[in-house]
Amino acid sequence: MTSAVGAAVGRAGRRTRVARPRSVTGLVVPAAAFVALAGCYGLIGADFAAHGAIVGDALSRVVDAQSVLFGRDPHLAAIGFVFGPLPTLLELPLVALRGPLPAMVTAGGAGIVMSSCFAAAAVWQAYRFARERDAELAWSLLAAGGLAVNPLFVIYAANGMSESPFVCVLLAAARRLARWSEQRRASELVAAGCWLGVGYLIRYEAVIAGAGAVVFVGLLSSVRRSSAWRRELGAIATDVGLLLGPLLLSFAVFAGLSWWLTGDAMAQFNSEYGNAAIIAASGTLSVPATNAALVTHQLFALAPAAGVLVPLYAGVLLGRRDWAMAAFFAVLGSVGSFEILSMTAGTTFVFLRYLIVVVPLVSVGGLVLRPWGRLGLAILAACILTGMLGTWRLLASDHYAPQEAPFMETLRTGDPVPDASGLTSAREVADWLESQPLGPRALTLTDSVFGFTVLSQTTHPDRFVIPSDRDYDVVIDRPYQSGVRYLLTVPPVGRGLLDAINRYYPGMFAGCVTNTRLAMVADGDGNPSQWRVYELLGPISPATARRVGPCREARDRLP
Amino acid sequence: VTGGEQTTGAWRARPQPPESDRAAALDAAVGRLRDASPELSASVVLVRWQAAVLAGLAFAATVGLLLATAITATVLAGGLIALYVVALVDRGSVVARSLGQGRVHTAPIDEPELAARLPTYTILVPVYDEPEVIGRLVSGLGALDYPPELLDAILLVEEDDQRTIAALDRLAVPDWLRVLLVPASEPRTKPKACNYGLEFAVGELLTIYDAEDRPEPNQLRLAVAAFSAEPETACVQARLDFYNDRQNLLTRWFTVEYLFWFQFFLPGLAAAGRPVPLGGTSQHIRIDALRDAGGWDPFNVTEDADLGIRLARRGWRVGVIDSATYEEANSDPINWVRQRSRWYKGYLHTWLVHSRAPRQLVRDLGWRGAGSVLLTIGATPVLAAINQLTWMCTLVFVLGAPHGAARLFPAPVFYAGTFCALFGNTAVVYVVLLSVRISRRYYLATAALSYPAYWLLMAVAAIKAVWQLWLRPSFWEKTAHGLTAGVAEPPAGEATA
Repeated sequence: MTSAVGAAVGRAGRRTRVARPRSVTGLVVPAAAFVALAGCYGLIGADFAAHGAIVGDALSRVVDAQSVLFGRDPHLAAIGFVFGPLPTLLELPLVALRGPLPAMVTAGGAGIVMSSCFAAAAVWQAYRFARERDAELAWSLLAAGGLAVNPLFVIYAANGMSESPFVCVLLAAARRLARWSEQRRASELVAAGCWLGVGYLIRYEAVIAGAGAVVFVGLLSSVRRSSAWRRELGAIATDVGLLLGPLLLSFAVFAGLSWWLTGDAMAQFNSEYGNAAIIAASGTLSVPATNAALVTHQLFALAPAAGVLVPLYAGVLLGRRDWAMAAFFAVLGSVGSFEILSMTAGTTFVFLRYLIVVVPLVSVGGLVLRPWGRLGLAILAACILTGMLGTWRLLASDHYAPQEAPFMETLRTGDPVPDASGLTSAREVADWLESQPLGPRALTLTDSVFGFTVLSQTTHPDRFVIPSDRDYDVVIDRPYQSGVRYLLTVPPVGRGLLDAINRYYPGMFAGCVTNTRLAMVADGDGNPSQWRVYELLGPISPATARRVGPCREARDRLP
Repeated sequence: VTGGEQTTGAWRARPQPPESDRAAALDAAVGRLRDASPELSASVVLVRWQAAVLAGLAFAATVGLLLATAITATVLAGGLIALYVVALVDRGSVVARSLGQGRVHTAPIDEPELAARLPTYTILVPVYDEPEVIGRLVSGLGALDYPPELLDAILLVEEDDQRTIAALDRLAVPDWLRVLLVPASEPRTKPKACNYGLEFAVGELLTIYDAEDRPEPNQLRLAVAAFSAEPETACVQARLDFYNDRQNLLTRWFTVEYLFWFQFFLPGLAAAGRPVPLGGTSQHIRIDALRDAGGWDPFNVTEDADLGIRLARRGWRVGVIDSATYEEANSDPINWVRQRSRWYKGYLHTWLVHSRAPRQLVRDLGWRGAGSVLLTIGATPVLAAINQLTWMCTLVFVLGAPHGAARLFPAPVFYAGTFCALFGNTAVVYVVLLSVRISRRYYLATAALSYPAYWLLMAVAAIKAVWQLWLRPSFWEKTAHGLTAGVAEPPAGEATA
């Protein structure tokens, strides 16, 4: 069919397609650096886990992923709607290796791999950001290195939390927005928007970054206005639409699915597992004045020169009209400011990790000083160094860095840390349940507020009934008839008040529900890890509770 | 001859070719492709095995739905969703490719040596029963920046089209435009008229315009530059755009659709070296390549898309040039549905023709090219037709949550379907908005955001198309032109609304 001429011409046409002009070293060096860096973070993470330094939230995500694949009711929605779903989604393939590599779950290994890869990618984004601003090698390495070796960043690179993926995505979005400010290509705006959309699937603060980016786009377009206002407003509106489109999609999809599957569109804010409920229940809502002092102390430890840096960076930025750097500050600065404000106002916990964006704000943000040459480089190096020293000292403090101090302890002394997450007693409970003669047909009813630690240690996650199971409502109402033989209960104090069993069967922990028998007690080091396993002897209902003696009091105390 | 202004009926001064030539040309116009490569001719809709397969599938689906409803429904839903996912991912990759390195020729040509070697250019202008736009023709094409002595512009008028001939008589036809009267015969399609014109064309390059088209003046020169830069390119497609884009919401939607199609999609396909379905007009072709490919298929109602694939199958490349031709967008919904259903019918027909010998198709285009023909030509009308159905199902599923419906969707099918419903729909609106941004025509942003409503019209057209392919495969549903009265520019001829 094909004529000779046509065929010859066609082949010539195919030959003219040229490969991308990218050298081998241009691919190998970054890839090697990425693998090396991620490997380092991963090793540190393994060391943490070996010493028992495991954060509850990170382990909880891994357990969610485990429920998706190996739970009693395996389905994707078991991923949960309290945390952003992306880290958990990415952990799925790693959790699938649970058979040959149990530590992927029991030590939260899947989370550690996830966060260390994202951390290495974040450093790469910082480096590329600098290079694309035409920064010399020294500047670029300093900016990226200041992020890579900061102790706070290292800890979160290595512990499976969502901080490092979030920083990575923010940097990627900022990088694209900076490129847009220089080239004004719509595709860069699209890429920035997509990163923000991805960001929302990690942490909801991506909305704040989106707001910062929108302000930036509006500002830049107004200042560089090239046409009549009416037309320019159309351009800005379209640009904002492109920037926010993916974020809105992420938001709508997540909220929509959450509403459809759990009946609550804003589970990360409203549900009994969300921050607001936890704050209310644990009663740690502090006075704003105290919070302000706490946050200020943390801030000045992360960046001791903050008092000088903020006006300095702002001054240079305004003086030089450096729009690319302004894009960076719009994205990361807005998130940083939001965290500081909401912590000070007491609407969220005062957690040092919420301030992690300060690290790249100092080191990558220092690129604004580039016009000052060597002096600028020296100032930046000094800022990074003092910041690292301040962070190092701060991290050792139980008061200012309660969540990070165990990791720091491991890094400094190499000693095992006290079991803050209650994994020892969780393992005890898991082992005990597995040793029971009732076998695989005996289900254990639990809630995941605390129950995730037990789920992480068991080899039979499919024998647990957890809130993400689609028949949880039915099972908790008629547990015995549904095959449940054990109830895993926690003390009804603090966050334990939110425990589904405590709420449905008030007095359960105190043994005030008839037809149950206290079968096992695991007292950990601390109060939250205190477990009581009740064996079900027959059908129970909230109405069958004993109402005598101490049980009466126990019931009255409950909501 | 009715009385006109100056040189009334001047076009009659130039005689038509001798009767024997006309008859031979007509034979070639109708039969050349059908006789030379019957397997590529659309004179037949389905070959035997295709009919057998389709009938078998329909039978199996019916029996399956009657006997094993749940399983059959699951398989059908799974198949459709799989098609959606693949088409979606494929289109996404084309758009990404286009964003990365759109293969559009923009080089202006002012080098004297190239200007000295400009080839003769044939312009075919087929008209049928459109006296109201014939007056605009001269002003539209007269603006082209090309030496008149190198232009071979041919107006193709059906011999028995009295209204158009009468309108011509009232007009001062310039020297560079000759009128060919196409002998009346079936099939009465635009490609047959073009084939007839091709027999008498003397140019080295050839292009087609509709009578009401307004090409940008530099277009022919840009095409010449593109051809001399790339000898393996047989055809370059100019961007189609509309001059009445602000007329109403429908023309805005149509414009937005064209922005996407010609700015993103076709350049992306061209960059990937995949077959490019050509647009209806403003395709610039090397005349020898066109003759080698057998001209247009007179039985295909989207001969342009078909030609793009046939050129690709012969090893030629198709490029895209950054020059616009302004057309009249269909501003009337009924008229729009007629036009769109013809396109969809032609797309389906084209795909059926090219998939008659699947192994040969794969040999000519490779697996990717053959898949591309399926996804860009075949899937377009099919997806448009079932879009509403899937939307409705989604709505029922989410809001009504019918008992047992969940069992019809095993997890992978369910997740893929959710992905399509949520991500697919949004992505299309988003990309359309992006086209608006890149073209800097912000007044179209609302049309981009309300784009899903446009799909309703598409669905109507697609269903009509399938129906018509069954009953009247080669019937050319004429689009009424001249509906733009009072918009943009007053037409030269009298306009009917």
